[in-house]
Amino acid sequence: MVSRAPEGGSKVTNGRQLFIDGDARLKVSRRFRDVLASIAMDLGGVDRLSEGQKQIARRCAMLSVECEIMESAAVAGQPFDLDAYGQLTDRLGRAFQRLGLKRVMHDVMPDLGAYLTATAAGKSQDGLGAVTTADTTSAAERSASGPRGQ
Amino acid sequence: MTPFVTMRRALSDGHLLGAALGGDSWLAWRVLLIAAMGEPLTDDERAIFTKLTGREREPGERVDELWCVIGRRGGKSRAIAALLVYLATMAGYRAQLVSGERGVVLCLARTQEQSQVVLEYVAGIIEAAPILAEMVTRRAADSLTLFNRGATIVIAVRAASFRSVRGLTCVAAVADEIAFWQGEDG
Repeated sequence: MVSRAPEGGSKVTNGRQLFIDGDARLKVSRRFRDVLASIAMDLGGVDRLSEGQKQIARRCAMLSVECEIMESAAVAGQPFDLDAYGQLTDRLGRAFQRLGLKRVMHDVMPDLGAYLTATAAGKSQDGLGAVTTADTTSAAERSASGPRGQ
Repeated sequence: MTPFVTMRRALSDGHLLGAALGGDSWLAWRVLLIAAMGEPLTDDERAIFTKLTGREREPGERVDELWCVIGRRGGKSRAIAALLVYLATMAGYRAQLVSGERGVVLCLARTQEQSQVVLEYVAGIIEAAPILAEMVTRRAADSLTLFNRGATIVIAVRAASFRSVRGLTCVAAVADEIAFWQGEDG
């Protein structure tokens, strides 16, 4: 393997460009980008994916777009290759099975150390909601009454 | 033991133990726990402390032992559970544990059934605080295992028997209703 400084990576590697070449403004390109983003989101976010998962996700996005193009043609009354459509669908299904079809929750809960650091820095509980006496009291009231009233 | 969150902060933070002992009715327990950790009290809290303990002031340093004489329905189990969770999640024990050694925060009760009540409270407090729930790595019938800043800490509950506590490295221990424990002579 040849290591390379981050700034020397390709634009695709750096995330600045979706394709090595080609026009990202085309309808097909934009649809590809949307499907890829949805797949990555379902898998818990692009930052949680390995390179292998990212690559399979791209294949899934491309196969999905290709199927959608064929569907558009079919409903427009143009010739429809049912065998090719079936093959694409099967391959898409297999690729998705490797990737995982179920949605994955994105873990946004900070660990205790990060939480304490963030609160010590004066941030507003980093999106968890400010801690107030009212919060505490209402939570306590929800959970149970006090001693002798449990 | 090195706390990295004060007991006062933990008990007032809704993301930590704020829901465990919140509200006016738990104020006396909060005062006791804060004082036991060596933290200063406010004047109002000190009045409660004095009423409960007969002492003029809080100790000002973390106590080695805290003995409480509490009547029925006094909130013992829940307060104990909050203390156990605090000791297991918001304090470090690097000085006491060698690499790979598991520290045990132990609760002993007269019977295993009674100790289970405390463990259920512990589980409830942790589940109510997702930040603490993230630390749980394993739940067993008589214990909760947590990953605390590079160390494994186990909150364990046991029946009070000298046989059941052998081989544990206890970093803290709570003796629930010790007045009702049976000695070897019955």
